[in-house]
Amino acid sequence: MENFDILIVGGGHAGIEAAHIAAQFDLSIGILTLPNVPLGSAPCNPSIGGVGKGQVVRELDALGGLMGILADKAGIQYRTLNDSKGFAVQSTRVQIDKDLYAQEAEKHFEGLSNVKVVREKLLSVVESLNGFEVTTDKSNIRTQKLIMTVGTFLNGKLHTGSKQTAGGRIDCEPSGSINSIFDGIKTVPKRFKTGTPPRIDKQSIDYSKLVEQPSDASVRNFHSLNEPFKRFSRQVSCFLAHTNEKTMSIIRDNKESSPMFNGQIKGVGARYCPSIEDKAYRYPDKNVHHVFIEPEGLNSNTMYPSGISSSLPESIQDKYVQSMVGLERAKINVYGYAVEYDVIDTTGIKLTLESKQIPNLYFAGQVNGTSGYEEAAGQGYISGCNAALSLIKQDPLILSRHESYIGVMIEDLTSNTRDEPYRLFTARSENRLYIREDNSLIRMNAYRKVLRLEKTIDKYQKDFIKEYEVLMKFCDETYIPEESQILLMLSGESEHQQLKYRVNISEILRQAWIDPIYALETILTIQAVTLGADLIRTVAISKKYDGYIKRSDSQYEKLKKMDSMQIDWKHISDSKNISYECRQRINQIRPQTFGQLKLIEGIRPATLAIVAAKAL
Amino acid sequence: MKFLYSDEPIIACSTCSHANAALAVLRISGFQDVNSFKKFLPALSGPIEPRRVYYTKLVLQGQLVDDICLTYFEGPRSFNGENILELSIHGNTLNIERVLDLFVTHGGCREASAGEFTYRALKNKKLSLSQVEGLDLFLNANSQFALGQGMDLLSGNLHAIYLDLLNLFLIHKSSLELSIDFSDDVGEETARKYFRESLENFSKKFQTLVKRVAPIGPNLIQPEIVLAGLPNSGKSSLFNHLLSEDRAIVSAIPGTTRDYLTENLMIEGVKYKLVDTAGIRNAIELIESEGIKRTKEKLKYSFFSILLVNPFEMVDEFSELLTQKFDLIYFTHADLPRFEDAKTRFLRTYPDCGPIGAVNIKALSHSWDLELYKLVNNKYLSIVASSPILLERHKSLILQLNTTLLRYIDLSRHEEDVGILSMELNSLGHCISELIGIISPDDILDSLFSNFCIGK
Repeated sequence: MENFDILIVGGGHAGIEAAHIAAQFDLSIGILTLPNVPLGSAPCNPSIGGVGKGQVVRELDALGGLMGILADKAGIQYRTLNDSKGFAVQSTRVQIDKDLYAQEAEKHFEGLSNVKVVREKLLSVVESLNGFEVTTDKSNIRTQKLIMTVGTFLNGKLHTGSKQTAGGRIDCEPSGSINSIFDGIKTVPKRFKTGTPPRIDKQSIDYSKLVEQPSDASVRNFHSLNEPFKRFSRQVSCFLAHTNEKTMSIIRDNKESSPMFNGQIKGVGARYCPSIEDKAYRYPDKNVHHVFIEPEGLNSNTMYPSGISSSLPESIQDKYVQSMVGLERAKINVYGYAVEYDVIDTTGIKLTLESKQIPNLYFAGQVNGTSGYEEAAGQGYISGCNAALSLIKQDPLILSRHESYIGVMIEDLTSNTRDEPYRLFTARSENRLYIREDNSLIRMNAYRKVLRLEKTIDKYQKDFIKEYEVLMKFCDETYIPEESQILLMLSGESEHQQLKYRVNISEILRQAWIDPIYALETILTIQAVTLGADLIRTVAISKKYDGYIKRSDSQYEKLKKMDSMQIDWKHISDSKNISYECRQRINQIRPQTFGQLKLIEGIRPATLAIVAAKAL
Repeated sequence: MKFLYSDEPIIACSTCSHANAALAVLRISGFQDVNSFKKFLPALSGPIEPRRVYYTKLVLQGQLVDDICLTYFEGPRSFNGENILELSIHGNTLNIERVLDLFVTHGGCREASAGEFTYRALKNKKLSLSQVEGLDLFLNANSQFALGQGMDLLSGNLHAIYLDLLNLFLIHKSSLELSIDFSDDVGEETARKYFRESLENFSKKFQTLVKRVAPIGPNLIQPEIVLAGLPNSGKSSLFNHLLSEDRAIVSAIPGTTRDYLTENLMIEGVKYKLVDTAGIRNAIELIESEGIKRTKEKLKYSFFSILLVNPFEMVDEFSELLTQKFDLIYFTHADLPRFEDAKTRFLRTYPDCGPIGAVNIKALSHSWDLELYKLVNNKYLSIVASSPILLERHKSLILQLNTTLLRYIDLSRHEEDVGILSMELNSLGHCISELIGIISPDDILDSLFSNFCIGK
């Protein structure tokens, strides 16, 4: 019988991230995955990163995660989103070669002697004295910790027109319900739904009629140990197409055949990721929508049309795709489909992602109701790291929502029952000016350090932080006289008010009319100081937002003081002064602090006032 | 606010006037089972049904206490969402005390704190914060207009405007989020268009509110007509004449009215406070100079100010007093020789002192009153025409919001960093939620509920 410290069910983005971090603690790790599915496969869009998500990938990278490493290796088109909107909201997105990404994942784990990939199908799990006994179609496995990253497979069902098949994704059998495996794990009463667009044959598109978006050579790699601008693969372009009146009327005329609108699909889709049917029926006046045509890989013969996911019958998918300029002769290789699946009620799991009902059992990824590879990976890391920390009897790792998007996500998930698939937006963070891509390493280093893993990345971070602190101090302590040529150079043609007094470098970088990176580079060159470009960039941007961040910090401190106040949920839920619905919610979620209570959806202000007044 | 989290049944007299009356209404709120009170109501057979009036006897330990009428309102379909029992009893103050005592000592009730019934309504989402403020205004209104605005807040009209504003704010806020998180999906151009349009809509809606807030204005909740003038200028005579009674002491010795006197005066359905101030002169006597100070204070918040002038006394105090404009000036001592010369001299010195009214204060006739009433009412009508917002809290928040909004609009024109822009927008959001009462700092609630009379 096989014996593991940690067994991870599922080899997707959550699963491999969990395995990768747990393996760094020298524990024995198993990944149980289906025979015909490669590790780290990308069944939907062929890209990693995006607004908010790019920050997650860089946070993971700074924590010693895997996603950034694989994305760089498989990256075939780079882009910075929100390039012109300020550093705080800029995010990196990399189109990946899906096959290459999966191959790199396989290769990565082949190189780890303490990780074993078991390609069998899970049948049942029994809780035992020291963990679990897992039965598959071929063997029995014993493990102390079990991490479930089963994606959309729980009771999965696929829809294309009226055709329905049981499955977790195309050509994959589904698993049963969670309660056929564990007793007492609650699922969200409404099933979730997600969809994917039809895949188009690469050769059948007339690219001359589309807008080309080439790869941007000035975008930095995700992994901090890679040369920032090195590319590991040949770079290709994405293309922009548009829907038109004809496209939308084809879809509108076939409303009856849409499983999402004729009642066949009952699951809840995400409002932020609408299918083309959603767009057509909900916005009857809008006919022009963006469709990004993205390559699925260098050697793949399909393109992914982002923005037109659909579960319409195949013949209608052909028709509406071919109605678009440039796609008149498009040939669909794989038709779009929608998938409905069960998700776990995440109020039943802790901030470590361990189940409250069944100790040593963890849940991560899409099974928790999130969408997106990056969200899955973030949870995979947290579950894997905490399973490992628990085994070596170290304190759990919990990221603050004030310092990371991963922290925002985990707190949002565990404090609420989700009623639609959860995706990270930068709007979910109250501290957007601080949670940036450029300072991920600064934000995450303290968390990485407590793991006490002496890897290459730890050495790199230690040096980086040391230089960062020196340069931050240098900016505060170095004054530039007002008659200095530097100031004249920096202000250039600018009509803005020039600095009329002696200031330190930090003050210069804060000025709205100055490009802080260029300014700091220039000043350092004149002062003959040589430092790494990434370091200069991080310091310059940090200094620019310093004032705003301090303001937000002081507000946050006040809130945190209030939020960290311990509350007695049992006592509160006994109070007759609080409405029935609120008591129900409180009983369900059992908040420990005022902050957690506040995050519960549907808690009325009056309830908060009562609890606050009582506690003060 | 100790009562915030205590939830026993409470009782209070809702018609508390501290004087004997024919009837008094008592309310009990927050009990579990209405039939638990049946031990005091032995004549009633069968359970007490909601929304029915019962005429019965209130009895304690075999002794008849009173003949009463009672109505039971079952929660949540009651004023504050709780079970409420309303008792109409005889209104002798001793009787009220006795019945209250009965329910406190033997019925498991506690005397309600000020505003507690309403607090429970707020808590149970029967009223919003601005509706509670509306109730306060409604119950304490001295004018039809204040009454109307109280009702407006209570029935949610003004509240609905606030919610509209909140909604437009949320739309604008989301347009900003759209340009950050979804500009790829909708396109840069469209995102910018949404941003501009939604800010314009918000700002337009908000302007209609700003117009209703005068930065400093007369108190319209309790409008005051203030009579000012030097000692012995005839203020008290006018005061008495307007009230047709000898309320103020009229005498020929200057400085008799040392403090101010007030009485209610109804003009066209509006209840004004008529204020007779102390004579304004820098007297040696401390008490009198204190009176002068308070006069100036009164004038600052007056709705309608009247200055009485004896043109023969051109003392220095006038120059200080006339730094402010009066609504009406009355000249006295018109019966003395060379009055016209004195008056002309006065008006040459103070040409902008205010409109001049009738001249002979001694010959007060009824047509005089009518002229004054007309002036007061015209002023009232011209002010309420713009339906000003009466509540101080709302006024100051709207002005604060205005400043923040102007700064934000200015910033949005040149700031390209969306992160910074959204940070500024958040502070706008704080102002709005404070206005609507979604986030209500404890001190607002505290002052609000302490302004309530028990039992409302």
